[in-house]
Amino acid sequence: MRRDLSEKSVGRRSFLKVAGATAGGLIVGGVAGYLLNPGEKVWTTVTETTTKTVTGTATVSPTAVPWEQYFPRADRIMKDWELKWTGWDPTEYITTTDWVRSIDWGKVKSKYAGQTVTMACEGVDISAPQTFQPGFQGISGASLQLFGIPPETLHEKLMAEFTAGTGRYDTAELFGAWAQAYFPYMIDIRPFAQTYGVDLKDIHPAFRMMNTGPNGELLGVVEDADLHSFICRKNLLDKAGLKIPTTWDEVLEACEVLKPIGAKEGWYPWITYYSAKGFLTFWYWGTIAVQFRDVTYTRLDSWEPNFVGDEEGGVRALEIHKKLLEYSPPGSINNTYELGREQWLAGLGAMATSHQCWPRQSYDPELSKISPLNTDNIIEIRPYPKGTTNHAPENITTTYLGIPKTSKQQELAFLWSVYMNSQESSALMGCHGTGVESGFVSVISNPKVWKGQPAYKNIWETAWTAATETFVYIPEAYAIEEAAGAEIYRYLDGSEPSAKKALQNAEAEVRKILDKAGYLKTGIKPPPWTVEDWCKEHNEVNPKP
Amino acid sequence: MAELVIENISKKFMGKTALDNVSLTIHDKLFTTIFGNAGAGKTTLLRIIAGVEKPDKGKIYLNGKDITTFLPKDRNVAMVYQSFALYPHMTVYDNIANPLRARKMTKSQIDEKVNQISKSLGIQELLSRYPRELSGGQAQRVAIARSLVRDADVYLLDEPLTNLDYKIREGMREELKKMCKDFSATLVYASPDPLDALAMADRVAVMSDGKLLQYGLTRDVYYTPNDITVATIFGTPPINILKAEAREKDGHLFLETPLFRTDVTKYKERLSPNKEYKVGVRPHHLAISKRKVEVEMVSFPAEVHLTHVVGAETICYARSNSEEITIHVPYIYRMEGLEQVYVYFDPAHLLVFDKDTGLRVT
Amino acid sequence: MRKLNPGLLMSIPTLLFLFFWFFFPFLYNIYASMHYWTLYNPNIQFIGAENFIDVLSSIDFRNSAFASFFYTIICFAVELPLGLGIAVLLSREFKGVGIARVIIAIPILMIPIGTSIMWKLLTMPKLGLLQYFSEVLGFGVIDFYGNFWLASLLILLIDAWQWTPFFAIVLLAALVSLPREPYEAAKVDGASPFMVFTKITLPSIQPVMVIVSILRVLDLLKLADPIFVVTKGGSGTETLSAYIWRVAFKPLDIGYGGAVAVLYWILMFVLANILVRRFKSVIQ
Repeated sequence: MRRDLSEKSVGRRSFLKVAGATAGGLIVGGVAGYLLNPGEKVWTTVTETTTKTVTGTATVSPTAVPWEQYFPRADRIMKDWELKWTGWDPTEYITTTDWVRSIDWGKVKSKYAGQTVTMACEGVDISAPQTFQPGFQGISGASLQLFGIPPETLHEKLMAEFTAGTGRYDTAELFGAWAQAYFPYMIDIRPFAQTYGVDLKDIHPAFRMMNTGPNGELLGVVEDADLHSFICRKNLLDKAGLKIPTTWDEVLEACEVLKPIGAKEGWYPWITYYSAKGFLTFWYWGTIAVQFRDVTYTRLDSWEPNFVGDEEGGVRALEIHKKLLEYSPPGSINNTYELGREQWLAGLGAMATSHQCWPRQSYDPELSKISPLNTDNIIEIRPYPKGTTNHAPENITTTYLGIPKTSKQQELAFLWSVYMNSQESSALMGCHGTGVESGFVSVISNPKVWKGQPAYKNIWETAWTAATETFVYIPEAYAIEEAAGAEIYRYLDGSEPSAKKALQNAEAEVRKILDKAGYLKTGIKPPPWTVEDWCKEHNEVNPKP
Repeated sequence: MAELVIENISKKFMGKTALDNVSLTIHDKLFTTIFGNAGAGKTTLLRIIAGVEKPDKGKIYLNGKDITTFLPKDRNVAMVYQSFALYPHMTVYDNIANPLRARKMTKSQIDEKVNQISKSLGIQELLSRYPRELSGGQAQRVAIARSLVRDADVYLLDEPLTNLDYKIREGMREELKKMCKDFSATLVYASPDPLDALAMADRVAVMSDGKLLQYGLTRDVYYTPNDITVATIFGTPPINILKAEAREKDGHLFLETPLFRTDVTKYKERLSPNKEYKVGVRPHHLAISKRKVEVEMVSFPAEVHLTHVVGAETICYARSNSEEITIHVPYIYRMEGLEQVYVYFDPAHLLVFDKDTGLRVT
Repeated sequence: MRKLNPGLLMSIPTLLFLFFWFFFPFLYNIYASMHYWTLYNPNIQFIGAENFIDVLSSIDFRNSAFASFFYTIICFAVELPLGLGIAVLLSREFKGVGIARVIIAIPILMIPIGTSIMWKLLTMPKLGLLQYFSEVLGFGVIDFYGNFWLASLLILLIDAWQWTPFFAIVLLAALVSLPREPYEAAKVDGASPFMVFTKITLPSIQPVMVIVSILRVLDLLKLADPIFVVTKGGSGTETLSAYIWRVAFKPLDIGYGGAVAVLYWILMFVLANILVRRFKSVIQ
């Protein structure tokens, strides 16, 4: 998940340092640095060191292609332990196809050398795009400027820039769930893709559906493709004589068995990914509710919200959500992504549902207390627990790299977004544990990649069943999630004792927003919400393992 | 009966001596002035008596009781400050009533006492005002009223007149003296102004650099100062000091100064011939005349170069044989240019001090 | 030609600034609050008082108004006496008082969000230092983030840690600038230390105390940083400022958000006026 970037590789280490040192000054300094966003300065330093590395390795393996030295490659990105762990040949590419390799960069360079392209990045720590910045600058001759924007204000900032038409950013990271709010201000990237022979269909439909317009127009290149999995520490389950749960009932039963053991040993049965009041509550409940899909919360007939469900599957999901909080560390009701991740990597939990980054980061000995490389931990990644029927994980948090209509460097921006999010580079980001995950069929189905990002195997196997909220297709998505989440939250914190009542209140709130925005009057049918249906409607193949 | 005995009190502030082994006894119902220049230790002595400062060494007895370790509130002393120290948020009435309230007196008792004291100090009309609405003189009266309203054994007044202007100061001196009599109070009054002591005090203690130099009846201290320092600081304008040498001639002993020569044979036992001394004569013991007259006095010529009229009196600054002389005449003396005059004085008023120790010899 | 009043001439930059950055946005906000108006939707509809009715009937608005006042009261009730106590201690002369006065000022210099993060690190279940001591002492893991009372305690701790020194420093400045004699006079007059404090010290520093209290109360009503960090507005801890941020800026609903802001402004305006009027005589 993209929000993760701000903490990424340094997160856990610096956290431990800070927690260990009670000196206020250290924290003041750190936080001040964080808030002041040193941007340019840090950026320069990083660029210099990275350039040196790239040049250094380039001399080791000269090739026929003059631009090869700038292509992303494992030995230029990964740490030593990662290369050892995966057993990759560092001089070989790990993906079979890469659209970057088929672009004529000589032509690009002659056209764009000396020009500048800008990008708005989520997070103040912009090290993920920075990793590929020197390569792109070398390969295109253009210069790239990165602007880090704190995640808390990215949405407002971008909307302000787009509505005002400043043209300040040539490309921007757009959050999938709220992508439709940006839609009127973005170009369709398909013509550029055609010009450069970039095969956008390699992006799995599960991650493409949310940023596709009614006529198939594509909002941007998928940058971070997130899907939930179930992860557990198998060694803890084994010790308690438990099998890996496959349904929510089994999860709750396992939690009950693990609770007293964890109490003795200093951990909890469950870690809550996110639950804080508002859209996070809605998402967490939603990922569970979608497992009861015969009575799904998102089945909207002519935009009438139905969160309770015909057979009250939504109610069941909300009750599970609340129950899980009892098995989680105290205060998990207000957990955010960051806090949940710290708890998981610190070994405070036995089981969790999460995006791909948690299982991958669990392996990193520098980030994780439960790394199987250092301890006798066994990390297992499994499909999302089932509800009443077959499961379909959520894909709401996918991120895109869009190009605003006001940009004066649209083509160069497209080339950058393609370079940064090519098959090879996105595979490397995923396998490097940055939290930026690949959405390419050619990547997630590649067993060689699974060695570096074990979660991809599960993602590949379940992505074809994925679903998304209907709301992600309208600009009011955030307002709806926030309002519904606030109502649902009342059941979690006990101010509304009935789960059903809470969901009905949420329905009423959402109905109000939909009504105000005019959806209830138009009679337009909502778009499909499962990948299967979406593929049928768009005549696409839904890739299955 | 209030007798305050101060015994061997010493006090240092950050290594600097403020009081050095001071002992004195304050007698009942007398007006005692602690006199000294700024930094002499007067205020410190008062604060130690009041108990707001602890002495490093020494003891204080009040009516025979050792009160050295007593808290201020247990000593039954009252204090008046140079800065008045009124409580700005309280009315005059409340300011005066505060010490009585602290002693838990009833409302009617307080009312009676406050009215009584304010009447005798002429501040009845001010009772409902706030300190910021008072003039300097009024504020000082209120401050004095606040201390006199209590039946204290000893009243300590720390330079109460210094912040007032000249005219009010004159008037207040009269009143304080009267008050001391009327209330039959025991007053200890610290002041850097010799006039305060001379005008009011029954007894005066002269201090300098934390040491008590002389303590006694005011006129005794004035006319017979123990040493040259007391003579110099206690008295205004300051005493005239001249170098002198004793010489024996024909069985007579003379003191020779640059200005005059006088027969001191009667002090033969105390003065040694051919020894250097210092002599002092107070400015008001000098008289001037434009013509030379023959009288039984010492005389010498001088040139007046500056006069300073104060009220109905004049201070003349004269020069003679490169010595500066101050003369205080009890009338208005106007000069026209430099004037040659003759200065006269009765040799009986001459004070002779040892050149090295400064102690008075005659 | 008439001469321009130089006073007016010199005020023009300020007036322009005030107009563009205060009056205009203020009026524009009132205008927005009477419309259905989201930034991504070009259709702006006049809906009269509907937004205000929605806000007033919203549970979250009432809860957040309660939370704002609740935190204002408890934080103020802790910070003022504590700050006064520290000020009195530091107004005495003792060895190292200079260093102590500097140390006590450090929290004020810290960025509020940084302070909150520091406290969050200290209170993380199983990971934070405070939780460690709590477990060692047998209290177990404390639910500082999910329980209203405990989360409020943490928010109070954060705010008091950061802003008690503000009271302490300002009141200390007031105390040390008081003349020494009235205290001594009171002591000599027989007043007990308690009487000296209540009858002389407190009334003397009252004007300063009132001003600093009014500033702090108005500031506390805007409390948001620790809430974002500790609970993200959950468990009933959401204050009015946090509520406005959640409903206005994230959904970009400037109509509804504007309505909350207008109500919030009225609340603050009335309160500030009551406070200033009530204590006008003291301040002057």
